[in-house]
Amino acid sequence: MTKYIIKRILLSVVILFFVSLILYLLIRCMPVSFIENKFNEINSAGNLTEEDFKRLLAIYGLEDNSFGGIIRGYFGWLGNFLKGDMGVSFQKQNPVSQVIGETMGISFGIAFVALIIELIIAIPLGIKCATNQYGKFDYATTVLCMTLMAFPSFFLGNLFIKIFAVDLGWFDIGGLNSGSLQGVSFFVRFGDMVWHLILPITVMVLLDIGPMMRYTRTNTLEVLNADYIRTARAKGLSESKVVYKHVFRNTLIPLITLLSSTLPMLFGGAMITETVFAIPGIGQTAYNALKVGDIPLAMGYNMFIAILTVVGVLLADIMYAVVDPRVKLGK
Amino acid sequence: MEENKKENGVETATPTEKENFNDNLHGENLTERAKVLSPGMTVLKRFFRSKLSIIGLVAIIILFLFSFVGPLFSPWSGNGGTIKDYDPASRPILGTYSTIEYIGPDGNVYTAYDVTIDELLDYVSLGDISGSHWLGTTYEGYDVFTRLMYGGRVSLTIGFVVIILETLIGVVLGGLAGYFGKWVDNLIMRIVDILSCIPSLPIMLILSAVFESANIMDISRLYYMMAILCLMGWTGTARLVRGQILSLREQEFMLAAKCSGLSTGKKIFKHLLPNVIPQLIVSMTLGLGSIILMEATLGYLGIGAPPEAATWGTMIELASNARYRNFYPNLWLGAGICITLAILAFNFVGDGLRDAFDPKMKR
Amino acid sequence: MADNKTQDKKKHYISRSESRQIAKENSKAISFYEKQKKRKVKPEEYTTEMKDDKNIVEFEDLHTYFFSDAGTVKAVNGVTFSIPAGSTVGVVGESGCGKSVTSLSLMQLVQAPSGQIVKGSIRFKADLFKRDAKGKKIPVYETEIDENGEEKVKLNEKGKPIIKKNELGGNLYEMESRVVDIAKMPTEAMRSIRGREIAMIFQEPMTSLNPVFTIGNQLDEVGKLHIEGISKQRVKERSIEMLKLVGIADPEGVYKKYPHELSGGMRQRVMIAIALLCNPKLIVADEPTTALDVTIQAQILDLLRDIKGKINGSIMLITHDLGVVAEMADFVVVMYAGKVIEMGTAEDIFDHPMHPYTIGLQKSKPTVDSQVDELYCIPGFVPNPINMPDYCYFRDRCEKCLEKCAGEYPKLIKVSDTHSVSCYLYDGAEVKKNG
Repeated sequence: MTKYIIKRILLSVVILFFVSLILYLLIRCMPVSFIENKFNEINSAGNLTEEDFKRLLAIYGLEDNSFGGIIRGYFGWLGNFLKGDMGVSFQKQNPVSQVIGETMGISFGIAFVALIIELIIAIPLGIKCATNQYGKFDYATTVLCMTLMAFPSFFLGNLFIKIFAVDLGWFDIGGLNSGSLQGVSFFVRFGDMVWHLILPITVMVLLDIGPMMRYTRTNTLEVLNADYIRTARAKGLSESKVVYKHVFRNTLIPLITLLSSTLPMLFGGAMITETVFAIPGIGQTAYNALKVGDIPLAMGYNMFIAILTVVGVLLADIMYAVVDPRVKLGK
Repeated sequence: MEENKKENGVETATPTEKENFNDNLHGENLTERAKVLSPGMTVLKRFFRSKLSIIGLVAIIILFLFSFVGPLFSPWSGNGGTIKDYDPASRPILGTYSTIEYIGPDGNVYTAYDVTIDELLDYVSLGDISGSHWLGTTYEGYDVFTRLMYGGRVSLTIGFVVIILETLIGVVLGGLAGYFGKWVDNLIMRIVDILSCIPSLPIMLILSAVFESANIMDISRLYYMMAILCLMGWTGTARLVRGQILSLREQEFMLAAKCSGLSTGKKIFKHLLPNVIPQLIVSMTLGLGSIILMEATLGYLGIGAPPEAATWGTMIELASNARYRNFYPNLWLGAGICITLAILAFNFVGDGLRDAFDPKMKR
Repeated sequence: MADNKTQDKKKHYISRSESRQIAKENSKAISFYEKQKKRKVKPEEYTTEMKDDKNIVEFEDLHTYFFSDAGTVKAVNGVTFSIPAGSTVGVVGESGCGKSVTSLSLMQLVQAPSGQIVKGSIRFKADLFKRDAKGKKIPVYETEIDENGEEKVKLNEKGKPIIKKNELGGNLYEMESRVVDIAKMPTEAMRSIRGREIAMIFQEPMTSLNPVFTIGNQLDEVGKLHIEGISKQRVKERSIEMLKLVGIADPEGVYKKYPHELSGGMRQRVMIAIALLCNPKLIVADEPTTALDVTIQAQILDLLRDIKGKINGSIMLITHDLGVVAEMADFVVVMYAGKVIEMGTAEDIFDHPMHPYTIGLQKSKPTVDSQVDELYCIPGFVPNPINMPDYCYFRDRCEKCLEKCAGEYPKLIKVSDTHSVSCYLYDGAEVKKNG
């Protein structure tokens, strides 16, 4: 087991190495003058100095355009990256690692709440659909889920804003708090935040509930046809015991794998939803950075997501072995 | 009652059997008299039994007609670019202006605009829905409804081209990996691992900066973007094909093919690929929806086609502008509905096909 | 020629209108029978009488159909036989002849919604809990003789009456013996019979145990479910006792193991242990040895025979292996294409087989004592069970076919007190029951 995990971690490191190489080469496609322009453009009102820009060039090794220079530049950057030094964000005027750390929490909080709500709704719904396969309930839920799955996040988000915030005026949107709240108690602020977050969380839940529900349904259906379910019925167990003990425990195995793969989404922020609702999470910050050409932050964010993806895959494998007694990680 | 009817139905289905019974006492086997479904029929029947797949299919046909035939009937041209396509009457009059040129303190020649506003800038008239403009016009004066049709052309075409290219790359590389195994498999699958770790949206944003630095800002940026999407999107297909071929390779019929001395090419194309095709068709249909979504997302984020080009993506970008979002839903709602409808339709059809192809599905 | 061929092919394919018709009828039939199973009925509605009090189970004219896309498959098509108390009845036939479906019908476990019991009855002599007016079980209380010499209910420290324990360590309730018709029973009521009164052993030990629970968990489950008021400790003891009974050398170890850690033979023993846990009156063994290798087969059969003596119950043994039946069964039922074609005592079937199919089966069995160049083989195939005609299903394969065989399906003819056969060859050989 330990050996397997170590092997997988080493493999992940190799994968990350190549991912970072690809990302680095992409940055190298841009001429230095372009980056300098971007720096000046964004920084026109800021207080980053020429020093900071020089430092960035040094971190990325951007001055030397020969082949050897690119190689040296990459390893120089990699070394700095491993030390946690990813340069200073042009836009936020702060070190990239600090920006990621600060904004990640907001994204995680929102995504986590959304995920919990999704699970609470999607799993029982999926099981109910599977046990009533081809029934009216199954049909209705399937159609609803597929319709929700078809909505682009930005469309649903803007539609909700238009209907519920603008036309009906039920919710406040834009950021986490209303600007006018100064010097009020924590509870008022918290309530105001909840008020702001209901719409974005609803949108996130609606967008992601479909795949989760369908996945639960498919897996439950598969398990329902298994021989051991017939055995469980032959024992005289009630249908609910059969479903929620014998079926569910087996459906859980692929579900946990699915959950592990949501890790990048959980920490990496929902870029589009955050942008639509102007939530200052990591997704929106990264989007703004990427859009205006804040290269250090863009690189940092991409590497962050890549690491999360690799860890998610690894976690899925390990979790698989934890929930399924048949699986022994080895070889 | 119920089952009497059933028995009658069965009885009437075979009326001829009793008559010619005597002359072939041993002739007709009981096995032969049973009717079964032909394999093609089974798939078709299963597909068409599901109402959702029919709805999906109809929606796809309607969207295609709308996008490819529709513009022929429109008096407007929404496929942006040239001034003569505008409908000047619908453009709000901003005012008149005169220009003054002067030499600045730095010695350069500057042009100053002296603007006189004739009418109050009336945004309502901008997006007005009228008899001749069913969904109003854009700020530039394009007819939104016509633009929607032209947008569909680009979006749907891109969807098909990208999915076909993706699938081709995926089948070839996945097939190689699955069939030859060993280091080929290892190499290809590691590339798949690496590519699937790169987040697609952020990379697109970086790429847009790269293109900006190379000064590629017209519609060709969208094509480059989609080409890169192809280069990154084949991994799913490759995984699918490889997995299928790995399991098929071990099955008895492949051993039989080997024993009969078939060539490698024949083994792959006659015995392996046909077994993968059902899954491929399903994954292609479902993939179409996600590519249309990707195009729309690029458009929404403003890094796909340039704003004057008509695609569903650039049209829904208007929703990111709060003023348009709040007061001119006619400008973006149509594009949103078209995108959603297209994705939904492809998902319905893909789902129906999956159920239809699945040999385990019995009902 | 080629045209002719495609025409010929088309004849065997269902046309669109036909398939639409089938789909329509199927959904109607399925929803009808599903509702039937879910309805709430009073126990009186499915209470009946046994024809012969010696029997524990009586199948009568049982029809179980599968409503498939290609048409209605009459998997069990009018099966009548009975299982006497304390005996082993072997049901033999080729695969697909409906023997498994017969046993699943008895458990109400036919794969729903396409498979449904359509007609007929399955009478079972059940020991059910007596219920009071509110539908609650009536417990039997521990009694003592008080100082006045009167019998009084014993109370515990809290002043509540103590319920008597039964031999399994659970609460003792008042029971009543009642004959129920399983074919008419709603699923809800059937559940107290499954696992407690009738237990089933399946063909595939490899997949019949839930892979994610320990053996102990899966055994205990039955005990906790059917033996009310049993203590946790007692359940575990009972489970381990059962594992010991089925000949598992290290019951405590196996108790903690997961199914994938055991061999096929061991898993089948565990399945038997699960079946035995509540002392059922009838064990249905659906090809219990088919998936096992020969040496293990013999052990499992020995075990089943052993156990039958110990629990004093009956066994319904389903198999396609004549050897197994010869070794185990007191009575034999031979099935072909969803119908019983011959039944009798083991002696009747093996020493005096009458139906041409049974004779063919016997001939196709290899024997040690006689020298045969080539084994006999029944010509042809089992017919497709859709659209069966109304004549003897074996007719096309039969070597002794008569003119009469063109007529309707032959009735079951009693040739002796125990032996019946369904074939025109023995028309008139019927013995009238005297007295």
